[in-house]
Amino acid sequence: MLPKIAVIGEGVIGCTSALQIAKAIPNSIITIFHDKPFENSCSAGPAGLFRIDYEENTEYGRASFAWFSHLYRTTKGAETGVKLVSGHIQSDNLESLKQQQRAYGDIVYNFRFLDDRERLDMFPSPSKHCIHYTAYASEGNKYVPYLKSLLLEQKVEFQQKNVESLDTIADAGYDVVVNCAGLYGGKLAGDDDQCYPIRGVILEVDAPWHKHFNYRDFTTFTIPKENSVVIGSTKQDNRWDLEITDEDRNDILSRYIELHPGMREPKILKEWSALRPGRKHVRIESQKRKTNETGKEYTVVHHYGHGSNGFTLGWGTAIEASKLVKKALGL
Amino acid sequence: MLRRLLLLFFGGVFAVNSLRVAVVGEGVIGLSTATAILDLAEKENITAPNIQIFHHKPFEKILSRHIAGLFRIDSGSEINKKYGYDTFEKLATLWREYGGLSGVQLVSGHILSDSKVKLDSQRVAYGSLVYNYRDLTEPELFGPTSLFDLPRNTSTHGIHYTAYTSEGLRFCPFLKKELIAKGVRFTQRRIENLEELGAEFDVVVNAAGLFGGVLAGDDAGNMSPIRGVLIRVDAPWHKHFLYRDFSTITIPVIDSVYMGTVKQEGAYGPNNVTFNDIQDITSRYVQLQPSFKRVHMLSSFVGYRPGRKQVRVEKQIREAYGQKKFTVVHNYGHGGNGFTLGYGSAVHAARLVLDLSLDSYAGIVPEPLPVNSTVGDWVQVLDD
Repeated sequence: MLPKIAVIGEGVIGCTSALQIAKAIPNSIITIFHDKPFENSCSAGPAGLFRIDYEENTEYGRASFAWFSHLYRTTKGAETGVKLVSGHIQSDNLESLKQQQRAYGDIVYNFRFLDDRERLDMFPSPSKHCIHYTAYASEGNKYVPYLKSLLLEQKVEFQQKNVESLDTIADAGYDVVVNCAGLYGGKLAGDDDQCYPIRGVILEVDAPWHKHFNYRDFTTFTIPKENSVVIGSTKQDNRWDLEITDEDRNDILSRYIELHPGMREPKILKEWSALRPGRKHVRIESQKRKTNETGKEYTVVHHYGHGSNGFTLGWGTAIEASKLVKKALGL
Repeated sequence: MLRRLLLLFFGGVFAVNSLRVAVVGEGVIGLSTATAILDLAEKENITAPNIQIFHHKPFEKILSRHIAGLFRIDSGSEINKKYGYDTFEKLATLWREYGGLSGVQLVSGHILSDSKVKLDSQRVAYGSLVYNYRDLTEPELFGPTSLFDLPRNTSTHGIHYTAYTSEGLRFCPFLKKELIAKGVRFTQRRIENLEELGAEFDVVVNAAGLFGGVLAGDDAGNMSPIRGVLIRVDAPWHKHFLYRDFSTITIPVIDSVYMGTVKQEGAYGPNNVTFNDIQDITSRYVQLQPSFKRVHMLSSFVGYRPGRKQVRVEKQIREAYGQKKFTVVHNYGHGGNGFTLGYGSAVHAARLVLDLSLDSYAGIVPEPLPVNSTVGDWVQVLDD
């Protein structure tokens, strides 16, 4: 009997996990359960620039970077959604930039601090310090569908189902359930109240002359996508509302245009809001459980809580999650 | 009565004081020179000259229109470094003020070469002018997370930097628009020789590019066409320039990516892009970046760079018909570096036009090439 593995969630984490598991355990039956359409998920909108917030996640990022570089070297960006981007992050806080250096300076390409001449020449009213690097951006609206296409090749099945409890899935015949429910991962787990939303809003504009990412600190930025440029963002803890207001728009634009006057009066193509799956640490953990109804034994592997770094860390954390799945199956 | 006399007097003074300048050529060099003349006049508080720009081919048919204009200097002579420095400063100013509206774009990228010597000479030529200039490390070139698909047993080196593109398609019209707003006139008229303009103008600027030598009368043999081919492709995910040495390249411009090229010295045909050109360019480029296989091509074009051993920025006093003396200022012969050296050479030429101090060029202007009026076969073939 081939092992049956269920993955809850078809965002970047769910799809990445399923792909890793399919590679690690080629003789298995994998089903991905999703409740809402992909377009309504947190993974559909991000520009996906590689950047790590916390140093504890450095090695996960390193693994992801290797994967993105492989995709970049071998496949057209139009197919994968992965593109090489260079850019700058400025801040008056030197320590925050040094922290970025520690978190991923030796993973990305061309990481360096600008000298005064460069900083004053490139930006009209620059912050005191500025870093530069080259890395990958994996835009959600293309990258996740690309992962899906790889999954379909691996004969992974997709099923629309609102999953209320992990037990139900186990009782339906699955030996391992991988919980990639993002913001709702804690609720689905039943034992974790650490998940909280971090509300984000972005505007997508038409600015094909803008080929770099450009940040001031970590909430005011642009990131180029294949056919547009994302201007963002907000990072509002514990807000659940998704409606985009004029206050949002004015806030984001005024902050960004102060950093980059050349972007004034942008042609806005669309707007997007989502709730990042905030959590203090990413949860990658295996638990043995027994269903209430039938007493069936199964393993749940939790894999959620990536905050703002889902696209950067997903591949790396999925490797660890798939190892836990393998272990649970005694392989 | 007194007021009218005063008006006449001052009007007369203005008419006499306003230098009459003709510019031959409305490519990047002609437009940049006119721009530099007006910029300098304003800076030095001189009356702005009256400028008229002559062109005979439509913009769609001239070399400048098709150029991506990535900032990069081939030969790091002192004069080229000075020209590059002045151009870079101008591009940075336009970028800060106008974003992409001026046709200028901030771009980063990489250049690979098997020759460390060639790359080191790039550093000497412009490493301190551009931003983020650095040598690529071993892991970036060869490791499992490398940018490139290079076989391990090669000794390839690489550099990275951030600079500007100023694509002719948008940059030239931007300069032209600014010039028109400042009262510069554009006239479609084929100029056969400088003397015909010398009768009506005080200064004639020779920005005739590939034909600058012929027009000069004394320099045709020092010019040589260098055939180039560019293919415009649809690759909007490609946000960097990538070069292997200096003929296998992509440069992203605002709405497409340019892939190229060839550098056929002395070639003056074929005038259209051939099957061999496309095969040659695409096979070389795909070897450098395999993910570009079967990239969608939009258009392609052949152009002839105005090859010369060095840029000619030089002043001559000549006599027009009827013995009127006039000044000629040459500004042509930029080879493959017209957009990188253009504005800087224009500043030099403008200083010659306006008779301003040339201190910053002391000791770095190269010796003029010997006179050579031999008109090659290519002149008639390419001059339609």
